[in-house]
Amino acid sequence: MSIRRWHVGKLIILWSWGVLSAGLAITHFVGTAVSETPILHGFEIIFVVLALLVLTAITWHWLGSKDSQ
Amino acid sequence: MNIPKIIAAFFLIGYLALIGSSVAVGGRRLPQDVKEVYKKESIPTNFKTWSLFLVCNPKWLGADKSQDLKDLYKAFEAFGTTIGPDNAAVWFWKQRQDQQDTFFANLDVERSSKFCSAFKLTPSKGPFVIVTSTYPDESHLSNGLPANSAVFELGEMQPSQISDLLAQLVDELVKGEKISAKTTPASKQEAGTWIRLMEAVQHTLNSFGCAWTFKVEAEGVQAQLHACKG
Repeated sequence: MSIRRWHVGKLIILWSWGVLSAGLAITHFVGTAVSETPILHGFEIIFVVLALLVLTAITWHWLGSKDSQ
Repeated sequence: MNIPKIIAAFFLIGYLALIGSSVAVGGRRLPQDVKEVYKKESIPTNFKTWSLFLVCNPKWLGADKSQDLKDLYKAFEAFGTTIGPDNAAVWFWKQRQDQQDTFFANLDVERSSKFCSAFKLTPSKGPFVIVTSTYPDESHLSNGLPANSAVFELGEMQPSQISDLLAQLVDELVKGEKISAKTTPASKQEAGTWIRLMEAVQHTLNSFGCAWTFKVEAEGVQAQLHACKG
């Protein structure tokens, strides 16, 4: 039985981009008044949460298997 | 012709000219002055936009809201004088009276209510400001809200919020911009809960962000990084 997993490097690349974009979004979210651009702030917080959830799910799915010894 | 007759004729011509000029000025409607519409008067035409101030909320006619309503009228006056000659601000009175004690009795609430009913506005959310670039023809009120109109509900707004809204409207009207939906307090009110929620998240994140300190000590040299000042 062959077990196919993503290479750790790919996950690192994914997480790097994810953290960078989420970081930029959260920086803008906390740095500006919500009342000025509420829709943009809404998208930002949803994007941050979703990005982290998706990355977590991918990582969980591809690296989170139980290995028996 | 003797001199007295010449002088008399001169004065007569001058007098007639004076009367003629005063009639011409009085008869001509100065657009920026047209902002208060009395009973039996129709809303003036020849404007690019009309801003109707409609008072059809019974709550605002009560004693506890009397000052707010007077403040709204003052805000209307300021609004009407700053939106320029191409735009009209309209307030409905029953008759011409300047006395303060007749302010409420003189409000033409019935006329406002006709608009509110025709435009399907919920009275309890009023007073309203209707900004429209289509002439609000009272003979065709059954057609509903005119095209190119924006409705602003002032009922739940604080005086400062009303001032801000009117100031924003003045900006957009003077610049000739289309009244944007983002200006409408209705959309703001709908989003109010979400805005408060996001502000709470923002506050929490800011508090959390301020809680950490990054400190490096190397051979007597210290470096500290604080997330927030203070």
